[in-house]
Formats: sequence, C-alpha cells, structure tokens
Amino acid sequence: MKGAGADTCVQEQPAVMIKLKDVVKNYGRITAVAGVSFQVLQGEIFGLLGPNGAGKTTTIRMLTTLTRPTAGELYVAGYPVATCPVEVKKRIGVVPQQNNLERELTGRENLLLHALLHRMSRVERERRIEELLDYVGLSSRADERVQHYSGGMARRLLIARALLHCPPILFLDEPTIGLDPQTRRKIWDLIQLMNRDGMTVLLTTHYIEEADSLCHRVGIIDHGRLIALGTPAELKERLGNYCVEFLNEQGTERHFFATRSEAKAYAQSKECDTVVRRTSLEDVFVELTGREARELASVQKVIYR
Amino acid sequence: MRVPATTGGVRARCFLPPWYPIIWEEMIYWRSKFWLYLATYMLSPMLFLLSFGFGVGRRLQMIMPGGMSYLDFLVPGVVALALFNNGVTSVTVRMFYTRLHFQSFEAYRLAPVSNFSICLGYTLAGAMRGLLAGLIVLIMVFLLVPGLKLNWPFFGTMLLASLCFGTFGVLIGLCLRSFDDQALVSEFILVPITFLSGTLIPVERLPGFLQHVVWLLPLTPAAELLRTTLTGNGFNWRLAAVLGGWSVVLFTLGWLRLKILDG
Repeated sequence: MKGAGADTCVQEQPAVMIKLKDVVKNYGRITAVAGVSFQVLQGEIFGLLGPNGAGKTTTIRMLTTLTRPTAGELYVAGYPVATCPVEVKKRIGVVPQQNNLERELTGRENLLLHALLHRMSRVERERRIEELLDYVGLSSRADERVQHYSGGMARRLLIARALLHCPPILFLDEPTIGLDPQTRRKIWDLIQLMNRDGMTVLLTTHYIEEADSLCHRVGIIDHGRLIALGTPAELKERLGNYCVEFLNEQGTERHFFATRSEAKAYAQSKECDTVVRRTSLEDVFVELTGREARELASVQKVIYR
Repeated sequence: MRVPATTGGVRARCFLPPWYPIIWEEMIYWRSKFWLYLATYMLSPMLFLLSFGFGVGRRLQMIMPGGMSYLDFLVPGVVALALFNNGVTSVTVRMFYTRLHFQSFEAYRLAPVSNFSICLGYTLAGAMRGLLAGLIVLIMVFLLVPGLKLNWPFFGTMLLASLCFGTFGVLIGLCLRSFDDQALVSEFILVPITFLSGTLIPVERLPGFLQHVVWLLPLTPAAELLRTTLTGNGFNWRLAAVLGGWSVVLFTLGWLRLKILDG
C-alpha cells in the first residue's frame, strides 16, 4: 500500500478493496473511532456490527470521503481516500442510513440526477435507469414524487441510485433500519444478488440476524475500537458453539460450551428449566460489547471454554 | 429476478459540465413551481414601486441629490433588490434544507464532482433565480413607468450582480447550522443590506459614518452601477471591479467553507 501522503492516484492491488490502518477520528475531546484497522477483500460482504454510537457510521463516512480522519490511512479500490477522493467516489455506491433523496423530484428524476452527477452518457443513463427501476420493483411508481414513497420504496430507490454507475464497491449504512420483515428480506436478496455479480459490500448494522445471514466476515466495533473480527462461525466458535440458557432470580443466565455433550451435561446438572441451543452471533455481540450487561444489570453471563 | 450489471464501472461519458446537474435540478423546481415563483418575484417589487415610487415618491423628491426624479432613482434600486433578495435567498434556503433538513446535499458530495463545481453550480442556480426575478421586475416597470430606455451595459450589470449575489447565497447557505441561524442571517444581514445599500434611499442621505460603511456591502455597488447604466451615465468600471471583487472573495470563502465541511 502506498502512504497516505501520496499525491498521485496510483491504483493498488485490487484484491484488497477496502483497507483501514490505525484510523482515528476525534470530534473535539470525543473519540468516535480509536485506531481501527481491517481489510475487506474483493467479492466479500463485510459487516460492521456495533451498538449505537460505536463508530460504525463515522467509519463509513471516512471511507466514503465525507469525513476526514484525524489520523490513519484509508484505501478504497486501491486509492488513498485522503488524496484521491474523486477516484474513490467513482468506484463506490453509498446507501446512507437516512433517506437523502430529493423529495421534490420523482424516483426517475432522482436517478437521472445521480446519472448526470456521474456524467453517464444519455444512452447509458436511460438504459441503466430502466434496468434498475425494474430491478428494485419501482417501474410503476417511477414518475411519482419521492415524498409520496413509503420507507421501503425509498430504501429500494436508494439502492438503485447507489448501483446506477456500476460501482465495484457498495457501502450500506443500516440498510434495513425501520423496515418491515418482508421488505427487509427483499433487500437482503438484493444485496446477495449484487454480491453474486462480484460486488464488494460493506454494511453496518445492529441487526445481528442480518449480519449472520448476509456477511462473509464480521467486525464488531464498540467505543470506536474493533474488538472482534472473523466469520460469524469463527466468532461463535471462539465463544463456544453451544449455549445453555436459564432464568434465575437475577435474570437470564447463559453458559457457553465447545461441544453439545458438555452443554447437555451441564444442563442436566441444573435443577431449573434450561434451554440448550447453538450459540448465535447475538450471544457473541452481547458478550463482547457488554451492552446488555451495561443496560440490564440483571443479566449474568459465564463463559466456559 | 433478472440482475442488471452491478459492477464494471461506466464507460461512455457525457460532455456536460460537472456543475450542470445542480442547474438541471433547479430547472425541475422552476417547472413544478413556476407560477408560485412568478407571484413571489412580483409581489415585493410591486409594493416598493407602488408605495415608495407612486405613493410617497413625490414627497421624497426633496431628498434626491442633484434634483433626480425619485422614480428614476427607485427603479434600478428595485431591480437590484430583486436580484439580491431572490439570488441570495433561493440558494440559502435550498442549501439549508438540502444540507440540514433532508440531507440530500450529501448526494452531491458523494458524487465525483469537485467542491469548486458544487460551489459554481449553486452560484449559477442562485444567479439564474435572481436574473429571472430581475427580468420580471423589468417587465413590470415597463408597464408602470413608460419611457424607460434599457441598454446592454444595464443587462451586463444585472448579470454581474446576480453572479455576485449567487456567491453570497452559497456562502451563507454553507455557514448555516440551524433554523435559528437562518432567522439571524435574515434579521442581521439581509434586511440591513436591503435598506442601507442605496436601493430605496440615496447613500448620501444616510448618517455620516454609514455612508462609508455601506460601500462594504455588495448591494451598494450593484445598485449604483445599475443606476448609472440605466440613466445613461456610462458603465462605471470601478464599480464593476468592486462587484467583481466581491464575487471572487465570496466565491472563494464559500469554496473554503465547503472544504472545511469535509473535515
């Protein structure tokens, strides 16, 4: 990788599509991101998991050129973000957390505005707009003003807009927040279809199920620090593949075991009702971030390895 | 489900300038709200002309330096006000809502368009809005004040002034942080400039110290240059240079402000 101070736009090896090295972002005395480093490879769906205020959105904003880091190096599609922001912008699509479509414009006009901003030719922009409206199922509502769209329709239009210029990398910041289960699943399908076509995807979410079912690898971020990194299966294995859960006077207690037989043996030793189940990514998340323990003091967790 | 190509980049390019989408979006707003804009642009100039020009205008004759007709003084002032108020306010309001309320301004900042082009696009959008308002006022003036002789230097001044006010609108729009800021800008910047810049009252009739201070406001040279060209006193290059200087300074400040917002 080339140093961040480089002032020429030389593309690095394409296999690593996103790279962060010791990235720090301070807002005055508050540290939003405190030395995060990770890589996302070509064709991966990478999930950044974390509680509210953990630094996920700030990380995405730095990668998408919207916020400058206080320290550290960021590379997207091989280009240093600090010195080649325009090259980076050409190669990324961004679906923000908040609907930032132009409400006064129709769905089609919003896509046309984006195509003009990316300087697409008339033939190409007309073809891509029709293709993508069809892809996200908005062809019949394309000429309505966006202010009349439901949350799910707006979210699908945001995805269509992000894909319009065929970017190799897609950033999705909480892509399914506030959506009903049907729309959420439809958006998961879209993300997987895009990835099957070779697109690298970095998404942030605090829906654990979303990260578990979509992501090849997951990074868990808390208080601006990356506290775990790996495939969902690896992260669960580190905690213990099986969980014994039961309720006592203090609340829900969970114990983790490497094998099912160990878990069963422990469950049988307890006199109360117990549940033996596979460890979920949510267990890993709660254990690592301690969020549940911070917010619900009644919960106790004990880990057996 | 048929999957359109999602990667691979866009090959064919168009040759439109990078600031064009901002203007295109402005035209969409014009199309959808043209009659509302028309009514808005006509209302306040008409009130100024009727109340100041035809109402108390004859009595104000005594304050005019050099025995000039107050109506002759007022017409370029009202045109300057139309250019200023609409040029500045249209950009400021659009930027306020797109930056702070709807956040759609981010779509521009995520596109491969330089900060310079974004500033230029918004400046031109404001200038177009100001020019449209100015032209509508001119048509009204023709109906109300027959015998007015227009000339090319006057139109050139309108263009220069509207560009200057567009840059002012961009700078204010990029500095706003809340709805309260918008109210403060209106009360402490736009209203004083409107009344003190030689538009409705001659600068010579302002209190002594203000006569010098108002030359630091961009509307003063604009109104004066419109007046000298409309009355056939030639094109004052010194005033044009002041107006051009203001445009460069305000544009540069807006550009720097956008760079700071990147942080």
